[in-house]
Amino acid sequence: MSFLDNSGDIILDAVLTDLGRKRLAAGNFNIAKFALGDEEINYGLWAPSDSRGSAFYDLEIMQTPLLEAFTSDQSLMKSRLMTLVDDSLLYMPSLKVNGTDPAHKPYSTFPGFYLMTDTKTFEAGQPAAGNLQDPDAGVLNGARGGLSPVTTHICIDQGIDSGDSSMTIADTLPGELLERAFIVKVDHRLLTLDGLPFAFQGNVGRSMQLNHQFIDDDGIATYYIVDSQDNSTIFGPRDRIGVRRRHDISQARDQTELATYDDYEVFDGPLGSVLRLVPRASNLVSRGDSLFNEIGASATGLAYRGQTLNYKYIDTTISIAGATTGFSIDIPIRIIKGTFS
Amino acid sequence: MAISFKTLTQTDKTTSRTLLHESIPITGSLISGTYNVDSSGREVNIKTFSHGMFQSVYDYPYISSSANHIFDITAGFSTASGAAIGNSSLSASTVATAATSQLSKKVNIYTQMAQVLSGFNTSSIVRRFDQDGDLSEASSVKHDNAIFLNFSRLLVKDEIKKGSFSLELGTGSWMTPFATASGGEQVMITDSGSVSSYKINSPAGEYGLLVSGATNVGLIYYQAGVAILSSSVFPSTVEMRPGVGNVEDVLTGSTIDIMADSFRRRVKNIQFSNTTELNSTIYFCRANNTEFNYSSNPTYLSGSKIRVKTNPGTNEHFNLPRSYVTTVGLYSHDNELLAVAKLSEPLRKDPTNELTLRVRLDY
Repeated sequence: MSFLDNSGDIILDAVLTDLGRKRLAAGNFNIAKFALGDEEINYGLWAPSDSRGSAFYDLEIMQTPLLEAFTSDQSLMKSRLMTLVDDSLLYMPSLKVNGTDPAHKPYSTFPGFYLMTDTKTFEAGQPAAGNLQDPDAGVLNGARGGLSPVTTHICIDQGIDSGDSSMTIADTLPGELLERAFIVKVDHRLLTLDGLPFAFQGNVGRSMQLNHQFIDDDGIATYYIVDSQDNSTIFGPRDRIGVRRRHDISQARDQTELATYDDYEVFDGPLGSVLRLVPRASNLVSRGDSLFNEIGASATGLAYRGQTLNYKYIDTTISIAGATTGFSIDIPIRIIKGTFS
Repeated sequence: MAISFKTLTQTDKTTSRTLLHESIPITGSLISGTYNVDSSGREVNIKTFSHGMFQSVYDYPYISSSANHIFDITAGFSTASGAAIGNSSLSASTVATAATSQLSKKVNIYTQMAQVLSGFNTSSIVRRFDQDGDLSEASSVKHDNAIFLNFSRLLVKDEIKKGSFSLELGTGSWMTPFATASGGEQVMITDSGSVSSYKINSPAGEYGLLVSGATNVGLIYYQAGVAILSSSVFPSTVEMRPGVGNVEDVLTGSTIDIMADSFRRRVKNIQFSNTTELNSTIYFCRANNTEFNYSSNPTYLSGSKIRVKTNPGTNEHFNLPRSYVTTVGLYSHDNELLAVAKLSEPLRKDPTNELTLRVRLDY
């Protein structure tokens, strides 16, 4: 993948992706829409303090050398340009993993979550007699139907960090920026996804299987998760979600009261949607070792539930993008399968 | 609502057809004389087969994976009676009677090429190659003894460009094929008249007449990529192969491989232009002034603040948003990325400008 010659006229270097070729072969190749991307651009090069004047503020951005197109449909168009009606927006929402509560807190020594592939691994270290010690926060139970007593799910929050402005969690996120759907991509060989729609009363702790929209030629499953009326795993800015007190937040509250409500929030400005996901280990990794041998590794000595666990693992990611704003976040997942003698 | 996809309407798409031509020069030294010979006495870029029905010419020793197939050479004759053959320099009946080597294979080759390229008459009998392409003449002159050059699709692509073919051939003796002293001469065979008068009565597409001066010496099938050369191009007084004799003797008494060797030695140059038919769909991706001015790039925000609006001392809310386009993604209805186009340099997009990016996909 070399750089494109940028010494002359602006050219467009176009290729079909591997998925496009597959669709062409299958006879269902139909281009219906387009999007614009800017993945090579580092907006951190914006230099408003350049003393030569405003024409030079984006000089380094404009000089960015661009790479040739390549054919992987999963590796391009990671960041898309957006159309928003309001030109006066100064702040925009982003996505963050909410780790404020053990129920959705990442593992302490890993930038994401541990996922135990099966019940045997999840309950490894169970003493011959006596109660099983709770797993650490950040360890998810990947066995279908099971949930850890500590960390049950992954929670992704949308919102705005107020920064130097005077915005608070009581302010409302502009409607055109509120995510009402998320596009989630996972390696279908390794993971499937459940939602966790019941957050306050009745059926709390019961996950529901999500259906993927399609699986591409690289085995990546795409889930299009929509904020529907019933059993939605997407929650709104004022929904009641477990211990969180979003439903009590309003402009009528003073700063002292608001301070008590943001303990479980990761943004200090306007709050957006919340997505709750429960990853499940696929049959391929819960029942067999072949993928661990092929793309994983082995390790020993994991301190787990008061015991020491020898295990095999695969590192993967869950990629989550807002369908409205396009902002995305990748969540590392370490899939762990115990090795028992 | 923020959107990042824009639907392409019918007016945003168009199709086009473009013909691309490349010049293909094949020097005679590549065909004979450049590479060392192997134990069989042939250059290592010449591939022969145990069935002996044709010979393949490569641009490099053919056992190398870098070698490209250029063309095949074979030869054959018809089984028509002498009376029907007219003034062809070799009568097929004579040849068929005299043939002592690979008789059936040479006939089979001729018949195979004729049925594919010339087709069948109304009695379902294979037509022989006609010298002037006029099939209405019951007693027209035929190319009954022919050398076939089957060019590789790698070179021909979709077709040979009409009027572009030329073959410089030495018709002299084995030792001095390009010298007039040996009774032959250096002839230039072309399809120069075919630009305006090519034939369309072949089942294999369009074809033209190969001429040397004013004499018809062969045919060239443009889509099939096959040149047919009458053996009459070589004078019967010239020694085609030492110890064998003239072209008739070689055609009857030697193998197809030896006939091909004798021919290769006499090629000085082959040149033609190929044609590639490009069918394209052009997508006009139009970004209006109010569209695509924000980005979801992770570096777009600092905290949650838009970086490109930052300009201390100004009312930053009212600074115009801007983004930089580097990529155009073309998607299916269900948001699957089917094609990607990259710009050679970033384009600034803000509410003061509009862009139309023309993405062409070739098939």
